[in-house]
Amino acid sequence: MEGTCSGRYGFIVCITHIENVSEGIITDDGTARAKFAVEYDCVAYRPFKNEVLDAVVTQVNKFGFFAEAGPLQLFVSNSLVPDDVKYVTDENCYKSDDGQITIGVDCEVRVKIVGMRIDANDIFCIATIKEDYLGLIGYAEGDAAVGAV
Amino acid sequence: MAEAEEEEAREEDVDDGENGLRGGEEPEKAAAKGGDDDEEEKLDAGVGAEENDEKDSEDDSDDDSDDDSDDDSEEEEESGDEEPSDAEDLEGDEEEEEEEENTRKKKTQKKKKRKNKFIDDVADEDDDEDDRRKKKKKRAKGKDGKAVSRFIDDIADAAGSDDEEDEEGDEDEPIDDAEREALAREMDTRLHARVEQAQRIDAADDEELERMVKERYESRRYADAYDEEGQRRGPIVNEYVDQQSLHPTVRDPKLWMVAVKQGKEREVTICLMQKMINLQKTNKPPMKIMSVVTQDHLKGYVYVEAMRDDHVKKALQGLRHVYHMKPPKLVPLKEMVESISVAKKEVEVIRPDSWVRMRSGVYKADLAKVVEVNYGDNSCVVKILPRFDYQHLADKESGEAKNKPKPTVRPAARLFSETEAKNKNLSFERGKFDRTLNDRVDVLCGTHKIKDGYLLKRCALTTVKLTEAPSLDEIQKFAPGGDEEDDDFDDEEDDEDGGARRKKSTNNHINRLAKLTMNEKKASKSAAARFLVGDQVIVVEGDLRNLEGVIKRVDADGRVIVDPSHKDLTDPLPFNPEQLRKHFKVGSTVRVVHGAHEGASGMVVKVSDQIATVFSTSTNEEFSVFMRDLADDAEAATRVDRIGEYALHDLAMLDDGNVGVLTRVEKDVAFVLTNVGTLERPNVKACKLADFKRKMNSRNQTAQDGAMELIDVGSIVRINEGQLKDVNATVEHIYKGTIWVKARGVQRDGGIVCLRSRQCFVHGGQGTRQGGAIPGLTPAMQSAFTNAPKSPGHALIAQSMGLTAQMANASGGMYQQPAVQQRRPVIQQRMGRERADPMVGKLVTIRRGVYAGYKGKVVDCGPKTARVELQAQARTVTVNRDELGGGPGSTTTYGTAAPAAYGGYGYGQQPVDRYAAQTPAHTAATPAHGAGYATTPARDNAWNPTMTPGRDDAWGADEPAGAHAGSIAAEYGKNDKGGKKQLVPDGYDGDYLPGTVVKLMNGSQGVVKRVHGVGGSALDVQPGISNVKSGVEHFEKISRGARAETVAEENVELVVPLKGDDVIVVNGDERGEVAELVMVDGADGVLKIKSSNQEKNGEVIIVDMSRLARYFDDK
Repeated sequence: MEGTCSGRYGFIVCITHIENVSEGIITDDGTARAKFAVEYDCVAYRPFKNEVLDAVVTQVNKFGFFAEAGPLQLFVSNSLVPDDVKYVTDENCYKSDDGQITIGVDCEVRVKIVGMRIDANDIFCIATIKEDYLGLIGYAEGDAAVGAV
Repeated sequence: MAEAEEEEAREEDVDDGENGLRGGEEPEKAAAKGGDDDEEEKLDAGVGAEENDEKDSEDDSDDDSDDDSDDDSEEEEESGDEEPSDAEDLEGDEEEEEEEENTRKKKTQKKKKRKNKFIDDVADEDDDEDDRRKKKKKRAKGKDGKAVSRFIDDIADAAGSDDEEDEEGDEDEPIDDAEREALAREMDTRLHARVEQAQRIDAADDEELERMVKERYESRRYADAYDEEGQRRGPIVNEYVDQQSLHPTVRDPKLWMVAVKQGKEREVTICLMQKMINLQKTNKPPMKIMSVVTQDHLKGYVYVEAMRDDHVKKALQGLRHVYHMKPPKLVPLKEMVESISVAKKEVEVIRPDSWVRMRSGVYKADLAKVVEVNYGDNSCVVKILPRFDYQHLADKESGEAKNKPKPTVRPAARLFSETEAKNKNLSFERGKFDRTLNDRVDVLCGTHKIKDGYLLKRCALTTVKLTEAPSLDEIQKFAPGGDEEDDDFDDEEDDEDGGARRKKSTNNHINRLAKLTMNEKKASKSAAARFLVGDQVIVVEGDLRNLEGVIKRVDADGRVIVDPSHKDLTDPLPFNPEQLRKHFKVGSTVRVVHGAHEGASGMVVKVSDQIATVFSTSTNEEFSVFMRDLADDAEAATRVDRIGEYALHDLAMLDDGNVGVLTRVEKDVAFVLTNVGTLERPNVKACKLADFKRKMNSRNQTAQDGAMELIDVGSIVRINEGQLKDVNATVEHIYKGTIWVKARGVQRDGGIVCLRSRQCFVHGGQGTRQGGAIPGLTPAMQSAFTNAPKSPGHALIAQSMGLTAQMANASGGMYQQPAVQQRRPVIQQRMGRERADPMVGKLVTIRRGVYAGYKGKVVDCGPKTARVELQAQARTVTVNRDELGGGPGSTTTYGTAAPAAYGGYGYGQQPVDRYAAQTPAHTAATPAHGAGYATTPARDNAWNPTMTPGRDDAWGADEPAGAHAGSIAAEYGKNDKGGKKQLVPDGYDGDYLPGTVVKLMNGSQGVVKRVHGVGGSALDVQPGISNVKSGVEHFEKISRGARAETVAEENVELVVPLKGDDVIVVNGDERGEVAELVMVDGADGVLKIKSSNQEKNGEVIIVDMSRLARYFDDK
């Protein structure tokens, strides 16, 4: 279970305690496997709307950029990027008009979740950096000065 | 519906037969109301087929002017003797034909009732004549120049008129008959009488006239009670009764269906009318039909109203387009009303700025915007994206077009390109003032008028049709956002930020265009129909403007109940759909319900006025749509996009035999990433449902990676080639050597990548599974997935999956080693199952069967069989494993283990275990053996849901028990024997004691009757019937008549008992005890022994569940 995601509880990070293991029910698919219902306590990671979190940019394209906060995938659309920050095709990054901010792969960003898509076994979020105190908080390691990748 | 009514004829006295008084009351009344004098005749050429008739416009128009006016959609027929000349009539007819399209039927009639009132004291016939005379008189007046008002009734609604007609029929009928007769008899006299009558009316005093007017006015008021906007203003009940009384009765003229040539229905109708007029003119006796009606929706038939079918036949005589061979069919009374009813339809008028689609030609189905409409000549000018074939135009200009075949390819729709036109030397005039458009346009080739790159095309109204609100993409074509658009739409809004100016102005255009579409009734209406519960809406009209809310429900009457999202407004509020607009906030999960992106779902990332930008999570792309085309997709969590039975990310075989994964599903089409493509060049096919052959299941498929490691579905692999080198991905599907993986961060195809299995390396295989470097899965999970023999049953599966080596390791205590050390050089692990089975590669002698005595090398091993490459013959044969003997120099016998050898193992039914047990290294069943299971690292993960902790313990525990098992079984056998056939072989120590319930390979359950065979390897099982209880199959009873079948013990397994079942202890000290399972406490069962032994009976013991089997007493 660890490392999986349930739409209801979020990502299961770590199982801390097994409460109960049920009697097994043999599955009927001819494999002679059995199912057990197991109750357990765990550390779960469930994002919420309007939550602000830090994430690492994993991919940049003209629609926006993807970032990951642990197991959670986030997408920041270019319409949720501040107006003065534009996509620069050549460098494959988002750059502000004054050149101060450059968001490229591996940068750390602080984002706010505006929407979530919760599937049975995955959670995907749309996030924004178009608000105060959001945006770039650190460059990729070893790339401190420029930030562009 | 086109209806030719001939009642004027009546006025003119010529029409004995045709006083089909229809039409009626209402038009008449209208006439009375509007006209200065009661003008009675109403022509009714009528016929308005379409609903576009302009009604009110003609109400008070003049006879004469009408006759001349082209625009007049209602044609009036004056068939009076002296009235219009023949020529005029004909002309009128033609006009009528034309006008039919736009006019609705009208009728005019005099009413019996009215007549009676007018002239109370006259006998029927006289009355008639009087009436006529009166009319005549009136008519004369009109001709004299007195204002005669004319009534062209502006149809309220068709249903209403039908009723009126019926009513007319009802009341008039008897009189009509009499009248007809009278008229027939006294044609001449009547002419006379008419003149007299006219004079009389002329002389009638004001009072009488007033009375007549009043009377009419009165009736009109009844009619007023309904109609106009369809609002009922009068007492409904009365109306209802009134309407009822209007229905036709048996005494009324019948309705006959006459077969005519398709498409000639109108012509026939008009011909009949013309015939009537001509008859009148020539003073011949009229036809004896009352009316003719044609319905646009009824192809190939016209309705004729007449008393008898020979009247119909007679009337139709000599008419073209009528199928005279087919006799007129009588319309049953009950169906009369329906047959001439017209469904009430909203009148939709093409107006400037409407969005229309072309009906035919090269522009067929193209969206166009109406620039101007000329209702007079039924034409309009539309603005459309031109589809010029410049080459063809050039040819045409130079006159070569005739020599060349007509281009068959439809030219693409794009803005006019002047350069291209110049290249082809087409004549082109700029800024020419066009009188008809009252605007400056560019003219191409002297005919095509172009403005701002769009073609201004004049076409007939019939060649365009109003369209539903067009989708955003189409509208965008009309707002490219370029500068050339700026003069077309005056920009009220100033763009603040220069950077986004262009984009924004585009959006403004679109928004403006969108507003146009929204303003149209139809658009808003259809949008209203699309409100769904849960949609977020905003109020756009009224006091509550800008209030946001969520749709709570949509009532049947179209009203929408909204839960306002406002802190002070908590009660649900009703709204008209027109007052609302869908409004989704950024972040909402939505689904597109209309337009090109229909079916797509995603999240709103941007909202600008009516346009939402949606990020589709399945394709990782953004697109823009109108908000009205969106719906809330709260259930997105559980919903999967699917086409037929094929859902997103399913593996399916296509018709061409290729196999692929659905990467995107749209309205009618799914995009399939097929196995034809490669890592570098993916092959995506758009498939309709019909292109699919079947769904595939890749659950049990495996493939080999670049290092010959086994890839399962769900494995994590590292791609080793191409652009995606070193990307980690999860295997979604496997088909032959192709795998489909889902890679994070891949945008294409929703993250699915198709590659050859050898182009990647599997993580979490035997080599790396403890490495833990796999994202998303912990080491424990990986081992759980790939390793971990879970139960005896699993051993089989594991073996077939090539994990036998591990199993052997795991089950053999001596080989026990930490899993980490199981990492072996890849080369040793080659070839799947061979490496897994120690027997592979060994030299063996076949001991039995047809190949007895042959020696060979084992090349492959299954659970029961082995493939042996014979030394003497150049071929490979399949033999049973237990027919194999050791090779030369080998003293070990594989698989042929003496039956007694099994004896030591309580769980000996598993071939693999048995086998393992018989390897030299395992010969003795040592306690360590059991421990081996218990200590396999993977099994230590007790929380792992895929394993069976209960069993686990048991296996360890039953080891020592094996020692005494034999004796007990023997005892049991003896006890049970009782002179009968021995039920258990001596020394049997297996689990399958007689009476235990077992599950057979096919899933059904049965009761063990007898154990026989070598070492108890065969069982006689009596099959039975089971039901589902507590979620598992539960054996209920033996099927009588079913014969016991003999099965190998490895093909059955014990059935886990449920609480309350009878059980038998199959292992341990209490082996053979029958008891009731009182309670299940985790892995332990609490038993109450049922024994004939008084001492023991009722004793409660606790036994591990794994040592219990369900017991079924057959008595």
